[in-house]
Amino acid sequence: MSAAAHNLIWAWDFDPSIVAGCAALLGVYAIAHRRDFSRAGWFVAGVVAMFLALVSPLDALADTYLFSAHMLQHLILVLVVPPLMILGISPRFARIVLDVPAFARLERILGNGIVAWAVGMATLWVWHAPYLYNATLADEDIHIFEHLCFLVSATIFWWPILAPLERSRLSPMHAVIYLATAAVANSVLAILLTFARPGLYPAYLDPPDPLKILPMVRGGWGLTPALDQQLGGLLMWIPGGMVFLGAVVWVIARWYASAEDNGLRIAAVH
Amino acid sequence: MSKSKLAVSLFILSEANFFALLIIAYLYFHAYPGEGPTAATSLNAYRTGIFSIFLFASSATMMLASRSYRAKSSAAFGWLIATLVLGGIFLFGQVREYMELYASGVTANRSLFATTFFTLTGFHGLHVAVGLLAIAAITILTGVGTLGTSAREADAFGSVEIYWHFVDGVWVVIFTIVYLWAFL
Amino acid sequence: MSDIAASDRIAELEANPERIGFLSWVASVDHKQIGIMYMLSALFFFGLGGLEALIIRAQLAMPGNHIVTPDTFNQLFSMHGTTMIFLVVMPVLAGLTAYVIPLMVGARDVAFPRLNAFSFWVQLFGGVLLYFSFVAGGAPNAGWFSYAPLSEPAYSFNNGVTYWILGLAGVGVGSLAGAINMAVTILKLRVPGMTIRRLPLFCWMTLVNSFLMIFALPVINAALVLLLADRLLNAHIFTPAFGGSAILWQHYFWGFGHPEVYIMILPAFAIISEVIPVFAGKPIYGYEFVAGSTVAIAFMSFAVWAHHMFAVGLGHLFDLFFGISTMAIAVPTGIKIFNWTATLYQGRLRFTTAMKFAVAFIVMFTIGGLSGVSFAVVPLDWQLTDTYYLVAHLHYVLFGGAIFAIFAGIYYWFPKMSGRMLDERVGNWHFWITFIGFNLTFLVQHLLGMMGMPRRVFTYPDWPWWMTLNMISTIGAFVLLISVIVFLWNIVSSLNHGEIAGDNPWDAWTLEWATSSPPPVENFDLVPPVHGRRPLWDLKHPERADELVAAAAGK
Repeated sequence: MSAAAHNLIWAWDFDPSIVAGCAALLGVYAIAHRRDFSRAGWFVAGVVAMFLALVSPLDALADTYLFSAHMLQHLILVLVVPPLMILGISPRFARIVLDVPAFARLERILGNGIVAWAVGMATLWVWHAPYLYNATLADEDIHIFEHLCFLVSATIFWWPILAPLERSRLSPMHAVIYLATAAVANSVLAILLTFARPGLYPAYLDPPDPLKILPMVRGGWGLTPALDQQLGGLLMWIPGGMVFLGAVVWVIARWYASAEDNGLRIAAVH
Repeated sequence: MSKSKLAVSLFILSEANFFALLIIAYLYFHAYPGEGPTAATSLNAYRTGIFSIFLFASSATMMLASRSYRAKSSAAFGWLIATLVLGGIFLFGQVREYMELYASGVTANRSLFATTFFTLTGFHGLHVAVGLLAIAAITILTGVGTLGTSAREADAFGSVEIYWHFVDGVWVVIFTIVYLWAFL
Repeated sequence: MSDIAASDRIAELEANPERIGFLSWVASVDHKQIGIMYMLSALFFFGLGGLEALIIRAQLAMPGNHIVTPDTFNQLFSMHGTTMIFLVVMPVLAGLTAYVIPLMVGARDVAFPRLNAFSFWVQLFGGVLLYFSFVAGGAPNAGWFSYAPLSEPAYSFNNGVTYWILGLAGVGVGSLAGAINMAVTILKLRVPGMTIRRLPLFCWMTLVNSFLMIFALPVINAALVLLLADRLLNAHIFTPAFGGSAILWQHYFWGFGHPEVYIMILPAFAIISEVIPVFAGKPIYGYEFVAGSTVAIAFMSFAVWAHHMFAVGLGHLFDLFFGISTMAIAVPTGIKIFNWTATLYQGRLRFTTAMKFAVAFIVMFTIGGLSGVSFAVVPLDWQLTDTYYLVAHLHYVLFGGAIFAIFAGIYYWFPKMSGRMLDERVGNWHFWITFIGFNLTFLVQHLLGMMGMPRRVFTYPDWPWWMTLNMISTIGAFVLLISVIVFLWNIVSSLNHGEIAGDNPWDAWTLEWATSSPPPVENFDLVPPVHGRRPLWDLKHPERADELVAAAAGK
């Protein structure tokens, strides 16, 4: 194995805030779901995905070398982690929380389809403005804040689709439109990134090379700055779009499985 | 949702895509400008910003008009007139802007910025004008007292309102992208 | 107010039961009359587009032919493509939909009858405007996708492309209004009891298709507006010589153009999903999957357009992503093919003409689909794009697919529209002549394409086999001409002497068959109760209604 590949593979950064944050999430989950771990697999998968996205060599690549790696990291934080974690929440626990009036009120506001859509998509768009995105690359605190924004807004975004309680979810028809329009908003941003002039985010043009892997990235993988930016946009566009498609299929499948509005079974009763 | 409101919402969905495509063309040539005038050299964001405030305010007056109408209050007519005036001022501002650009030689064929700018804002202006016509229609009907409060008539009112908020919302996006971004 | 005017109009029509006067058609807001007018206008343009195709094939029958000049040839293939897509397939499907949907959901008319009339007339005048270009200095000659900069004034100096833009804008506005109308009709005017999950698949797919149009048509409208600025205001959006981008046009056009393919084929799927179960004597296999995969297709159709542009040189990464997404969209389409064949399996098949066209559709469309997937393989695409292989592919999808399904739909619903059956014996002839003519014309074009014959060339050298294959293709085209004459003969003679159909000649089970043929102005005296997906079947077989069977199977 080349020295560069070795350096990259071992570039794990167990930042204490991330380790502590993930541990806290798992701890809170365990306490909240004391007797009911039937959905724990989803939640743990979500936390593991988040943990890997933030401490693995992907993070090292994302922070310094490659826009496309950074995009992949963000896609995991926005499209993978929140849905998995929401799927892990049991209806019983959701009911307990939402019986608290303050939380119920919060959910009524943020769980509104239009609000949730706008929060999710606006966060995605705003942080890709070059001015802000470059700021996150220059300042680690802003960067952490950005990641938190993504996680929180994406949780709000996915809630009306995947929430454990039926009453929190959009009707199937609305959910499909919600996801389709979100996919359009996501694609338009991705298209802009794909076709933007190389160097939209100048930090990736000529990165410092603390791990001594730049020759491998540029030469071995062939990822020039222009290609890297295009790859980032394409990742957001096509695989990102496929996640929305997957959610559409999920919504339809859940609708088919549900008893209400099922013309066949209801009619059979009388 | 009533059928006319549903139809207007679907129409708006389509129009939103139309504007998104024109915005993409604008942004594309913002990134690859070529020769000739650009946003930074030809636009006056402050003055257009002031005229924009009139348009945003018209959304508020439209909302108040709708509220009065639903409460069967005669104030609805006044708020509708206010909406018409505010929208009209915005349109006047746009015409003025176009005339000044024309006088300074910035015409649709001068540069890629100019073409995409006039296409984008021109179509928005057209939508404002159509919206004003629709509002004028319900204003007249309200004024002469023929617009009742049956479900169908309320739908007509509500549909115009939805459309007007959409026209307004599109301008928030266009103003941000065309005017504010040019100077960032 | 429009409702009042519409009901006045209906009252007036009721007083004149013949409903044959010229004015009663032109001024009509009745969805049945508008639907028929849509189909007649499509038939008219089908004649024109077919005539253009015949001249093209005659010119290509032999190498070095000079029946038409190169410029005329360019106009002919541009007009043929534009006509068949925008003035034939889209309107005839819009017409079928406008006719059938309100009946199927048990409504008296569409949600907005006047808007329906507006849709029809705007799209008709769009078509007339397009053809007016022939007498106004020359038809459009830049192909049906009018690639820039060829479509720019510098290269297309007659007004043809300008007429093309305006004509398509008309068709686009009409189609959009129609799509909104149908979506609202399906969502709002269903009889009580018909939940979305009991919706006939024809309505399901029309609903999804309406959303597809709502999202896709503004894309072409935006592109047309920008091209119009280039042509009339001397702008340079799409001219690279002045800093513009020709590739931007391609992205815009195909961003619309690929969903457009599905806009034409989803209604065809919709027809097939009604015809096959009825003539197989059993409910569709996997209703949920047929409906759900439609949503997936509509969604994915927006993520595959760049496979039309592999030859542009957008970069390997680009090609890779779009190659994969293109292969992926074959999955939901394949699910449908599977469901239709599974519906046929162990059915009590009745091979009426409609059924023959439907079964032929499955086979022909599968061939077209497979050659389509082969284009997702980028190196193969580089080799075959813009050859006759592509021409063969798109005709298998749009003729073997859409047109065959439309014929199936016409044979299926003609009794409802006219009150008389189309003659089955003549229909049998019509089917087989169409089937043979179609395959004669287009199967050999696969070979021509692989031998390297490019599309859109006005003539070709005398290379081995080229003349033979082209001659076969031309003969096939004239066989198709015969088939159209047989079809027209069948319609005319059946309208006069056809067997009286009765309410439900096919023993079908959706609501349109519960009323008389042709239906009265107000459609229904009494809409039967809807407790399941096959209301008329339930009425006829109360002891084994669908829901009981399904419940028994589910438990």
